[in-house]
Amino acid sequence: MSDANFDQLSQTPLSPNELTPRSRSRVVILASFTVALVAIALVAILATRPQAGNVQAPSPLVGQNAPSISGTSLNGNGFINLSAFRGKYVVINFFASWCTPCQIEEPELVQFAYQHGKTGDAVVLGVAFNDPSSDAENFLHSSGSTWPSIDDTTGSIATAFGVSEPPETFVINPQGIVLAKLIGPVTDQGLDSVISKAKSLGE
Amino acid sequence: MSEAPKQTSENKLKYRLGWGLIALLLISAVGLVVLKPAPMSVTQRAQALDAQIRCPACEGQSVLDSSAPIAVDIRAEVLNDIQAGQSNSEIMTTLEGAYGSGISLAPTGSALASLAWWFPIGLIVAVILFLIGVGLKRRLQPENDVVIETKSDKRSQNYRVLLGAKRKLLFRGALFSFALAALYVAGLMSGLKLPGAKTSSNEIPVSKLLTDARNLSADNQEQAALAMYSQVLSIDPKNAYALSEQGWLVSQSGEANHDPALVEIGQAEIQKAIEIDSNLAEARLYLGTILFNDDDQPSQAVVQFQSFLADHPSQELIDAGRSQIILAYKADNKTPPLK
Repeated sequence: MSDANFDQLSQTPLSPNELTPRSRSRVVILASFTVALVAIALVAILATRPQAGNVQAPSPLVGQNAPSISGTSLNGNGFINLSAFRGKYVVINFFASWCTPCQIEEPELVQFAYQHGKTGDAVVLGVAFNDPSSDAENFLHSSGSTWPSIDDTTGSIATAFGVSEPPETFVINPQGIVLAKLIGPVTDQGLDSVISKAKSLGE
Repeated sequence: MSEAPKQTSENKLKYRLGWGLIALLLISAVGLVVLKPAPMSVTQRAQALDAQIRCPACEGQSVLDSSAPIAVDIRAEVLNDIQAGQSNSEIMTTLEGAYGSGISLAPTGSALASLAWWFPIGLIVAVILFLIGVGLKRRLQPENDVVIETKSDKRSQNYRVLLGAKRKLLFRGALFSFALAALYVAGLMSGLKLPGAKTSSNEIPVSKLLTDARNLSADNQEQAALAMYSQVLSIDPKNAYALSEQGWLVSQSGEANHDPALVEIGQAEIQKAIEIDSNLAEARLYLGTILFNDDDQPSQAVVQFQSFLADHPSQELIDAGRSQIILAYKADNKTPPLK
């Protein structure tokens, strides 16, 4: 600790020659206190702040046409095709029943889907990531989600979207262009702000 | 003076050794081009490529070394793409399009791209050495208008002899560099791995592949599991366990798609597995189940189930087959050995 402080001191514009030994030790004490205070404040902020959500991550897909998604829906009835949702904003959510942040964001997605189901401007499309279909189905059922979801059995959808680990969420505009990649849990509000920003920019 | 003959023979020896080395390098270069090593198998290609792909969910690991779900997915995707006839650079371009260029662990080491880096360096070294040689040669050419004083004459001559030797050495150095560059190019042409290129020389152990495949199969990811089993079989074609698991998955998918031909292919693989290892409990269970369910041959199924139970299977396996075994014994009018 004190070594680090000395290092910091040596970088200050005051040369040691300009300081008396007494004022020097005072500077050391002051610097130690400052460092300790900053450290405590940092720990406090990190410990108390809500879990990071709606973190936009860079992706080479942003601004490009979204990779195609098609397959049978998780509950076995019907065929899902991403291109069928043209004309609406599509929120593609990669999830897994074994992933805790996915459980955290699920009520937010339910809220988002409910709100936009009324206005009809946006839909949610789920993609199960490395999850046995029965588990994924149970997870969706118990959280009250009613949106279409696909079982990505081979992982080819995840690799096409550049997914690393769930939850990851992509926002696609009505023309099928990827607007944003969000890593970690999303919120209803966070998704709304991405979409309203896109609308205001005419994207 | 007495040392002179010895020196000459030593020089001659060095001279011959030098040319010999250059000749050896050039011959090796030609040899490498003529005797190309066998092309890589699909699995070897997939593994070499996997070793160059960064696992996006892990720190500093390649997808070859990682067992993260996404690493398993990418491995399956790479194998799939190679089987579909895609080139390494096409596969990398697709992955970079989704993950960004950070997905690549090494600069995409196509032989040509590396050649573009390394060949000019060899060439520059060779040219510099050559030019030094030429420059020295010029300096050594006698100039007519220079009067050499008698005293320093001998010293000057010695100097020239020395420079002459140096020039020869440098000339041979240049040739040596050329030969080395030729060997390098030949090596690249014949597909040898590059020094410094990050390729993993150690293949994934079969046991790891089998564990991955079992997990995938348990996760209902049959296609990915099948890809893993075929990887195992390309390394070890006589792996009875992989054969029987692959056969079972194939026959199951045949059943699901009402395709009896697929069921038959799967059954044949399971039978092959039994030929290799007659004590493989899993294979006996699978074969018995197929014989009973698809071929409607309860008595033959019972024969397989008897062997299965005699192979000391795990309780888990017995539980998995319990209902089939009981039904088959009953259909064959025999008392089931299980409750």
